[in-house]
Amino acid sequence: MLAALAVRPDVAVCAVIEVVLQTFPETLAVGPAEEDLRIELRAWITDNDPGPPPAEYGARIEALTRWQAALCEAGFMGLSWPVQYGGRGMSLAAEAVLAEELARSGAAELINRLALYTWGPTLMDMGDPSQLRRFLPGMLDASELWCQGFSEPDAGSDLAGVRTRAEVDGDELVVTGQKVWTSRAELSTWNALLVRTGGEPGQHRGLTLLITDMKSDGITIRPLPQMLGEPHFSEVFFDEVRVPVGNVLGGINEGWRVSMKAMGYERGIFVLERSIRLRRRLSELAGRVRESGGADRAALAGIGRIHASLEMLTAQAYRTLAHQQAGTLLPGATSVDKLYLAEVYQDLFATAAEILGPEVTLADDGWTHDLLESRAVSIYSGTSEIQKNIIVGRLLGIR
Amino acid sequence: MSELAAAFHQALGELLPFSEALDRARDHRSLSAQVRAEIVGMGWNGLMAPEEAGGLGLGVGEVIDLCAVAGEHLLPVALLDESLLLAPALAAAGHSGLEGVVAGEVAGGGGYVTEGSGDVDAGGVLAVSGVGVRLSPGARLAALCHPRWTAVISLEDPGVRLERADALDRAQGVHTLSAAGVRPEVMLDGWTDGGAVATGWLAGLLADLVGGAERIMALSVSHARSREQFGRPLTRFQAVTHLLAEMKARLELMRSAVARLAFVMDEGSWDPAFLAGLLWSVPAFAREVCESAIQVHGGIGFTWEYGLHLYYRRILSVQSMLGGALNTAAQAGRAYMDTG
Repeated sequence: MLAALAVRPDVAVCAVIEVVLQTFPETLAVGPAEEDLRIELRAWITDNDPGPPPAEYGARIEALTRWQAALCEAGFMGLSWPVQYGGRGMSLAAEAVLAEELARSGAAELINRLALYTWGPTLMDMGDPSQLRRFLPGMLDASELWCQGFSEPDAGSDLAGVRTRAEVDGDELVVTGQKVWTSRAELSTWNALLVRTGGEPGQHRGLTLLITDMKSDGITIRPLPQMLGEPHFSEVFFDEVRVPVGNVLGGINEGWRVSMKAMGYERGIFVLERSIRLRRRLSELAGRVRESGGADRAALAGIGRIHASLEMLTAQAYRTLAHQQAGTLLPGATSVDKLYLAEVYQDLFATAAEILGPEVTLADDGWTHDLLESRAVSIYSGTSEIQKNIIVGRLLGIR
Repeated sequence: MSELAAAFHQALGELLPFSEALDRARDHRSLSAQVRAEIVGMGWNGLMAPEEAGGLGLGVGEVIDLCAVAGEHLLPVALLDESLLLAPALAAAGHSGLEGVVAGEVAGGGGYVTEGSGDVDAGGVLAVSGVGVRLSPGARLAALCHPRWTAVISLEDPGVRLERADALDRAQGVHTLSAAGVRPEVMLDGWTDGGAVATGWLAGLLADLVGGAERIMALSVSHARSREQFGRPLTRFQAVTHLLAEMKARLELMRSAVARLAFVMDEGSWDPAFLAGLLWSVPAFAREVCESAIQVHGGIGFTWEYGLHLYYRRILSVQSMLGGALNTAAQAGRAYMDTG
């Protein structure tokens, strides 16, 4: 075959094109339009960078909300959203460029990321025209923050265990039950709430996704301070909360399908953004090491390992985005991204603590904060054990 | 898999039966001259050599699929060294030996010179000590890749001393090479300077490991499905399936990283710290995949006949030749500190 190619250049060219096509969808290509965007973004961020957000939780949230509103005003939110929904109709590579450039600024985090990258795209797939008109604009400018009501006391990783019930009553649904671990519940306008409208706990059928106004009567939010001391997530109680039927996304009893669709959107940009933020932390670690007179061999090996791991994670995120863009992302594929994100995240801050030593670990709020926070990464958005189960079931086909 | 890679896959399946690889390893025997000639006759040695020299002139992006197939079928790595390091180095220097290597008339091989195991002095004279190289039978030329230079030397030079080194990777023509006062036939940039020949070869070596890991993964899943213990298949034991999930995650990460490497190299937009990182991570991940595979297989995985050790020896050998896990991690750290 190869010999045939050597004497038949015409065949060789066809085969080479074939190889290229097979190879390059495995990573994300940034084209001229995205490079132009990069230049535009870099200039704008240079002029408008707010610097690192305040450490205090409330002030930080306010600063991040203002930051996203400013980015929206400048036309940088919803880059990959269609123009008719307020976006710029660009590729996912444009979102990758945004994540990369934001990571160079003081404030890499987008406060309404969950809406921008998960529920916005899910709405565009499954929402009706009036829902799109109502919900999309507030996602972009962060005037309406979103949270996600999936987990319950008896349904953590096991979503089919959802017990919070909703009964149809005329043109409303009446919701009663309890959610837990709802991030930023107290700040959110809308909750993508998974409720049971049929079936029994333990069954995937009979679930419904309800876009619920968090200011509704009957909702009680009880913050659960994290080990970091911040009220990042809450318990949310629903006592006969009335939600219009028009807020059902994807149809009654279609909640499992909607949730799976949303989860497919959840990881691509998220993992890339996190990998870039972690690279920034690695760069800070390297800076500290240089200031303290350089690294010994063990420190160099630690830094090299983390650097390599972050390159692997970024390459994986690029591949996921390339497949997302091409519509070829396999169900369950992003579990690899999430599983490895947790591993690298935890390794980075544990290694940094070792290299920097007690003076920093015991006294520096920033590094210690991130060391503690890293333990959450193998738990949130599906624990590492659940990711492994998904890899086994979906990617290896073992039932 | 591309058509080209699929055709290569089929051809190697016929030319390199697994049982024969086991026999060669047991007897410390290299690939037969006839099989080697068939593989070279398919155009293997000219993958990256220019068309006017009888090669195919493929870029890195195109050859990594083929290298993965080579790894899956345990093609002797010396052939990869000849095709991706020796021939392109001769081509880059306009050396008259190129056509002989592409045609398979001149055998060769290659290896990696770690920092500290040798160098070239200001006068262009090479001295190395105990460098691991893989050589095809009758090798006359060896390509050596150091972070800062890439050289081709004649093995007939009186300053060259070779000793067989069969402890780890049998049947692959592994030797240790020492040289003093040797003037290289060819001298090119190293990978830390963006030298295209060295980087192309390293990408190929890493892709080879991806192919091997894919084969190991498939064997492990197949074994776990069919092997029953306590009346049920191993796939019903979460302790086993979670090992398989970790292996699969490692495999996909390796694949993504090597695809990214080939892409940025073809684009000309890569930095050496990226490659330095992969020189640690890809062999380390391949090793983890293989060690877990042996564990998943239990006793059968430790037998000679089942042959997982052929992959394991290959991985350990490549990782060791690149300097080992600790050295490559420290090298990546240094590259990062220099550029990051």
